[in-house]
Amino acid sequence: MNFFKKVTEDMDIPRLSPKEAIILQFLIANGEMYGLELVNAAPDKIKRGTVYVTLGRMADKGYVESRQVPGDEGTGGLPRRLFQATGYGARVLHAWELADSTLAFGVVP
Amino acid sequence: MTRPNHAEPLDSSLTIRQHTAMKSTLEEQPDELHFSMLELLPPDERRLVARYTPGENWLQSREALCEELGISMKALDVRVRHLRRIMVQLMARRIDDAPATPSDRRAPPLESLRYLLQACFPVLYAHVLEPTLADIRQEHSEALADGRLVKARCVLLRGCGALAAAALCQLGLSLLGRIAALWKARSPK
Repeated sequence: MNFFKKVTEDMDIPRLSPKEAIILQFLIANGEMYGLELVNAAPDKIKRGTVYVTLGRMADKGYVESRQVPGDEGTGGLPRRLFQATGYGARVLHAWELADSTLAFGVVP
Repeated sequence: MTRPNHAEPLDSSLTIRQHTAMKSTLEEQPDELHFSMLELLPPDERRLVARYTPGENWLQSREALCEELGISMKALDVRVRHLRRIMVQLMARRIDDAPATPSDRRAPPLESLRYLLQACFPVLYAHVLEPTLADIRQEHSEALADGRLVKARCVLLRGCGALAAAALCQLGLSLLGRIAALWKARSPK
């Protein structure tokens, strides 16, 4: 147990929750997206109440970056935030997908 | 061409919005309002109002008009006043149908809640609540534009739930983060 703890602490393995992985997949596929668009893309997996909390956590980890878009009449003047995946986020997702497939189908030949 | 008497009140049956709109147009472009009103009348009535002019030979012109129509001067006066009232009512209806000006626009939804959240949780508001609120408003305005009032109300209700969930989730996460940091700091290396 101590061995695994030490290894993971030393390696500083980036963590990726299933929800974060879904968000990264959408962002990589579609480029820049609003939080609402992500919710509409996968309403059963991403909730409008937690999407910005998750995106904020992902931005802290460096998986996504955002830019503010000035608000229009529809938003009552409130600015909106557009998110896109970073290169680091894409690499983390790729690594996790690779690890998943390796664990699912056994050791890669 | 005759002009409406600007000193008189337009009509007691007009709403405040209609009065304000007409008054401002009268002050800024009196001729434009008059022509717009004339355009609303049928051609015959429009000609009658046009010939009821206060020009140089106004008396002769009106007498000729009375002879043509076979009515007395007083009857002509009554008829023109009646037409003027109709013009005002038609104009008022047009103002009601016109899209709202910026001063008429209502405050965007959940505005007071926004002020409250911004004052109580400034950091949380900037990172999580503001974009959530912007999304809610966007969805709400889209539903209103489609004429789906029930959906617009549902969006607002669901939006309040989403705001509460976002606040609780973020607060819970930051609390857990602090506990973890404290735990790490106290645990022996």
